[in-house]
Amino acid sequence: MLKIDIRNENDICVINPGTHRLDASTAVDFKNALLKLIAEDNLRLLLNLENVDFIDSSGLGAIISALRQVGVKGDIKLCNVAEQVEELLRLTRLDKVLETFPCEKDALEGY
Amino acid sequence: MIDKNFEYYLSVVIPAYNEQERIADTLYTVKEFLDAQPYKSEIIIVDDGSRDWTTEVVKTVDIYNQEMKAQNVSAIMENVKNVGKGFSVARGMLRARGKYVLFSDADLSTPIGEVQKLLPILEGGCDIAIGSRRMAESEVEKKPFYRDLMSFVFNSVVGLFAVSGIKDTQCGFKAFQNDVAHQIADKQKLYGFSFDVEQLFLARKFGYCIEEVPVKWEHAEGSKVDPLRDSIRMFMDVMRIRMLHKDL
Repeated sequence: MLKIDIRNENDICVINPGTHRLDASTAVDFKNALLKLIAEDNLRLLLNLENVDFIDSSGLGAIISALRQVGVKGDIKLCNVAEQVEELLRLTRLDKVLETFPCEKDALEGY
Repeated sequence: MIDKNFEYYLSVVIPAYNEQERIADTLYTVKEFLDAQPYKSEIIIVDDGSRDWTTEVVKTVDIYNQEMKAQNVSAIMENVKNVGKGFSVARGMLRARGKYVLFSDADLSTPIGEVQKLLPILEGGCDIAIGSRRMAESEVEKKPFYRDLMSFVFNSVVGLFAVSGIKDTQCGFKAFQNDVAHQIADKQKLYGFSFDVEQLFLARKFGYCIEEVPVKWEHAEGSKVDPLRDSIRMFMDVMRIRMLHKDL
């Protein structure tokens, strides 16, 4: 079971997935956790990916599903994105819809 | 445009090898175009054993398009190793469930909208409609000199030894009736870049109607063709085609 750290900072829900890999083995748990938070009206999410060094289509798919649920009422942003994650975001052009920040402090200020 | 014998009106087969840099744009473009059409369609991407993120990019773009735009997902087929463009196209064609089957290069050198010029030919009863860069009405952006020369020499050799009367056998934009696509792909034996010639050779053997259609063509960087190595291989393949199918 994925151990996800969740806390609130100035009305922004900061989520740190406690895993190095967001892939088929962890994406379903991660997606369910995000959708539960959104259903509880947490619509401004910040994903702190400092522990994640690998993501695949399943992992990005979980984030995309959450982005759809948030809709126009909120947003999802990312921080501490590893090089591989950044590369896949670029290749899929999702870097146009998911804003990334170098660190959590910058992300909270820039949200 | 509804035909109860077919699940889709159009299947688009796109072979891809190490295409991580442009496959997302290709997929977004093709999906957007197909979504605006009045018919049902499918996209079949055949990843030819890429050593990069091609498959993951396709899967992610699919999830995005499905979640955010309610578009159908593409079928992604993965070759366990790099076999060749011809093998990938044939594999995709055999999987196609559309009334008409288009194969298009992943770089969209011929823009996907050009299919509107090919479909009426098939609707009119012709078996195969092929995009051509060598007709008076073709709109071709200047190609690098070596590719123009290669293309001219290759088409001349093809005309002499395999398929005569076709100005451009190599344009990566060809459409087939479904049963024709299946029959040709099933008999195809060449897996490299000269598979187009073999497909047209087989079509002629089976007595199918082939019509060339002038299309737009823009040079895209990142061609997977090695001018020297692949030219030699393609010439040798063309010489073999008659031998490969001497039983037909």
